[in-house]
Amino acid sequence: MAMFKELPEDLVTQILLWLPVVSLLRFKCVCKSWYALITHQNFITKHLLQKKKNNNNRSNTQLLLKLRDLRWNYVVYTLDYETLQVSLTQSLPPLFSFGDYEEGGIYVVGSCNGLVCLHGNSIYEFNVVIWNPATKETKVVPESNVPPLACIGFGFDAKTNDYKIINIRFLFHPHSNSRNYPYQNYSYQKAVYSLNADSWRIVDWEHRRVHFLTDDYKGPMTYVNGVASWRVLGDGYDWGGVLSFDMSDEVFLETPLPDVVMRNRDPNFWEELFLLNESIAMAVSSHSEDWSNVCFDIWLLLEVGVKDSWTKLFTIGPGIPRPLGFWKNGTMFLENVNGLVLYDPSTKEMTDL
Amino acid sequence: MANNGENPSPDVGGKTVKLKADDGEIFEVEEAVAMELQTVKSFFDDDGVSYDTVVPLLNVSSTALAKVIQYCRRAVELRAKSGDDEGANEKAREEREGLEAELVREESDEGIKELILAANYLNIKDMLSFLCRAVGDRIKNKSVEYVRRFFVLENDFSPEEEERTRNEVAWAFEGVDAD
Repeated sequence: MAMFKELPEDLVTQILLWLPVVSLLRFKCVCKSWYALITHQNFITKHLLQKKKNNNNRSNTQLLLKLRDLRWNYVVYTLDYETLQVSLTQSLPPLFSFGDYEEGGIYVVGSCNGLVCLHGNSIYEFNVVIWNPATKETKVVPESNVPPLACIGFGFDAKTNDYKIINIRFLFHPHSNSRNYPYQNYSYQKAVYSLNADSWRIVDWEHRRVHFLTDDYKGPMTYVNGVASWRVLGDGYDWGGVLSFDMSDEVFLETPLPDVVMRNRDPNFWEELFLLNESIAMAVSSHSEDWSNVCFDIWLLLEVGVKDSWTKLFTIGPGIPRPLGFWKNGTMFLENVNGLVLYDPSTKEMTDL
Repeated sequence: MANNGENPSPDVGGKTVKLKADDGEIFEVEEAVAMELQTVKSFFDDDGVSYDTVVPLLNVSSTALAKVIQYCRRAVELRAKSGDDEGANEKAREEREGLEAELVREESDEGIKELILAANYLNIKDMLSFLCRAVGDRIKNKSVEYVRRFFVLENDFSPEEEERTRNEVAWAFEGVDAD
């Protein structure tokens, strides 16, 4: 039997699910039925799930590093999560009408399911873009040029299969008494952008007043499972906690910090949120017994909104640089003046990267 | 179920099942191996079907069936070897991956398609999964023309449509294997 065998569509689909994105994009050209199959939302979703399953549900299957190359242009490196080897180099998408963003820079708001949300600040413009590094598609978010922002987050609403951006915007009140500190003259406004609707919805802020402790250089939000979180400080600086936004319900949830953390804060306190598996972790600066050295306590928030679920995991230091986040098997990335360092808390080994 | 209690372990010359390929060739296989083929398992799950009945597998050639049986036999052996011991599990997994690689390495494109169709018809989940992955690996760096030949597909785009689609993702055509 020398006949060439044809495979039925369901088997073709099963084969295609194993292919990398670049191959799938090319194979859109094979024939019309493949074009329809590959571009269909069902297939895209299945492909994403398959990728997640193959990576043991670890969503950071790749890391992106944004650096400047020799010509001072931004370049993005895709690293393999396991090996930290560079697998791809590409430039940032041609984002903004004014080419040069050296003044303010371009920042990563967050990423989710392979989509990356970037925002760029120049003296001329402020824009937000959703970018897919695998397919190189970009979507400029309309009406996103409304600085200043208190904070910005990006995530996925699993209930409506929609990607959303949350902006907390300052609303200044010009008629306020000018004797007051500047922070008295504004309130917040909550703006949510839906990719499916391609539009913003603006809602008044019904939460308590907070200050967002965000540092664009390190990335403003911590995101997991449809919830974006930021560190916040209450008015008067006597209250601190984590404010979390659920992308589906679009509500904010507050988790106060543990009492012991608040009590021991000194003027130079340093805190950072990151992830450990699927929970929010926090590194808090603390002092060694003789107050001469800085250590870092690592806490884990087991349940968002529940203050009592903060659990102290371990302490690193003294003499250890600041922790940035966890990698695999409980090792951590630390930030040194010279760059990144890998640290294993159990063996206390440090490796320069 | 007749003759059950006497010989519980299949590899001690226990019960066997007869499978008939599309050309009439009969394969006699141990029951445990035959049950890897869900289609065969369902065949016997029906009430009143005796284990002596020859299972007709009309859509599977004898070449393909022989390979499927050989794979399933080794897979059953490997599964029996690994238990709760993580080390043994890891080793068994590596051996199974070696087994899978061996099965596809020598196969032509037509051969591998035949195996996929057989694994699909016989409903052998693990085998179908790794075969699909193997084909995926084979074609991922290939050209559009190669893929059309492999899957026996007509190009139904007009020249303009095809050009437009290609230009949408021109960068995806870099570094493709020569045909």
